[in-house]
Amino acid sequence: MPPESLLIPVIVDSVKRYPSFDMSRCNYLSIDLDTPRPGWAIQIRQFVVPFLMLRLGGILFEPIGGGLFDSPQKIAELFVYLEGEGTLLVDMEDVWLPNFVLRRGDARVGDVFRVSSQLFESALLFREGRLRVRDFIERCERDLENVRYSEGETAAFLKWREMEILAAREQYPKSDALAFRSSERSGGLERL
Amino acid sequence: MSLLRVTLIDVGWGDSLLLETQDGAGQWQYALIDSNDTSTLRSSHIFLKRFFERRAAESGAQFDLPSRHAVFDWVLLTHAHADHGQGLKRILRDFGTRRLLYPKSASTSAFFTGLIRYARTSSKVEHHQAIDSTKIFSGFGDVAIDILWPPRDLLPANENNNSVVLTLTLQNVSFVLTGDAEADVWTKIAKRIPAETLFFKVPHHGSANATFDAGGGTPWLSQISNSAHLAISSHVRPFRHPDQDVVKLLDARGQTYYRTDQHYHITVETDGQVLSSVRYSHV
Repeated sequence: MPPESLLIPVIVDSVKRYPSFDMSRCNYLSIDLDTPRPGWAIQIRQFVVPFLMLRLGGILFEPIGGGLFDSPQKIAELFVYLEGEGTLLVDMEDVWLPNFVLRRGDARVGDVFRVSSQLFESALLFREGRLRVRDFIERCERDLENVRYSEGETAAFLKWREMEILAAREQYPKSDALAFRSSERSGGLERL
Repeated sequence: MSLLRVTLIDVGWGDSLLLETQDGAGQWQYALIDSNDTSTLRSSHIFLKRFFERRAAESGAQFDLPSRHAVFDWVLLTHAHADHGQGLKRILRDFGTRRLLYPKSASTSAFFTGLIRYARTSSKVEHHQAIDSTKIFSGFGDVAIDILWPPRDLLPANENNNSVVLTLTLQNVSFVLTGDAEADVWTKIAKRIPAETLFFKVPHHGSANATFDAGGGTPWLSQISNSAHLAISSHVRPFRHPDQDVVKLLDARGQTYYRTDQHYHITVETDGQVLSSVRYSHV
């Protein structure tokens, strides 16, 4: 897939509306590997070079099988299958995006947006301190049409949250011996 | 001799605190509050790895990752914001904890969901639980821990004000650890800051909205003795925290304070009688 056609999902984590800082922190799905792993190849033009992967760091932008994260099962599968072998770690990291690119400043925590790989790259550079805020804002203004709200994925991530909270409640307490008790008169263990 | 030691790990931005305690019988226990690591900047993870390698070497042992036994007695996510919880999953996977604690949260943050999922499914987290001020926090050496905030089922819209605020008291000395609780919270709980507080982590990276209330008052600072030492987990980029007005105020009061962007890793220690040591790695 050519990089210019890539759209990367970001999920709003926190919305800041300071006069001097009007941006939202957004999570993206990352994947990481600390041990060597075979079966990889890099392709540049017509050349394909196999190699042993070590310390892979990547950004996940679609579920297993492709498409969108439009169901909670597709999100959950990502963790189950990729982490299932014990060597890969799927996690969440963050970038900042100006609020004006996110639903014209009306973004809420949990909203999912798809952003172009160019804009995402700018956001990463800004996060790492390699791009000045003024330049970042200018790039965002130019790339405004390359950010779109993803309603279906927003709903799927919310449902995934409900599923996980429910599953955690059903499991509670994972260890009765380690659970902190309540000081309230009702005492005993409480739900999450 | 009992001991409590708190290290503010310099993670570049955000919070990460390592807690150590030794009880009267010489037993050590460890806890961690927050982290802000990414795959390219693993400040907290690297600090912890080196710390436990050094600690193991001192006793003739060896420390390898992933640890076979839970290193931490508890790990606390103060609130569901990524700059306090990124990287915790990797730390939990490699070091393990008996308990993962967090506040009950209305946040729909995806990273928080991912962490709950990991806690539920992984053997590296023996137990996980939402906590609030009704919970009895027990079993950390000789240190008494009181949860000042949040109250049960509060679920504020501003997740910063959902931060778990702890007092840790060893005999005659208290430390207060504050997450990102803003001034609205401090107007409610400032009176409960123990008079014997000798160390106080400045809330929300030294932001103005955590220090000044709507009327320009300073609820937590007004309860702090001039002899108490303060520390700021700086968040210079992108927020420019600590706020310059807060810094000026602390300077004007002659308050002793440290900041992770200036002093790097900051360690305070008490034997229960005095603040027996304050160290930092750079100035």
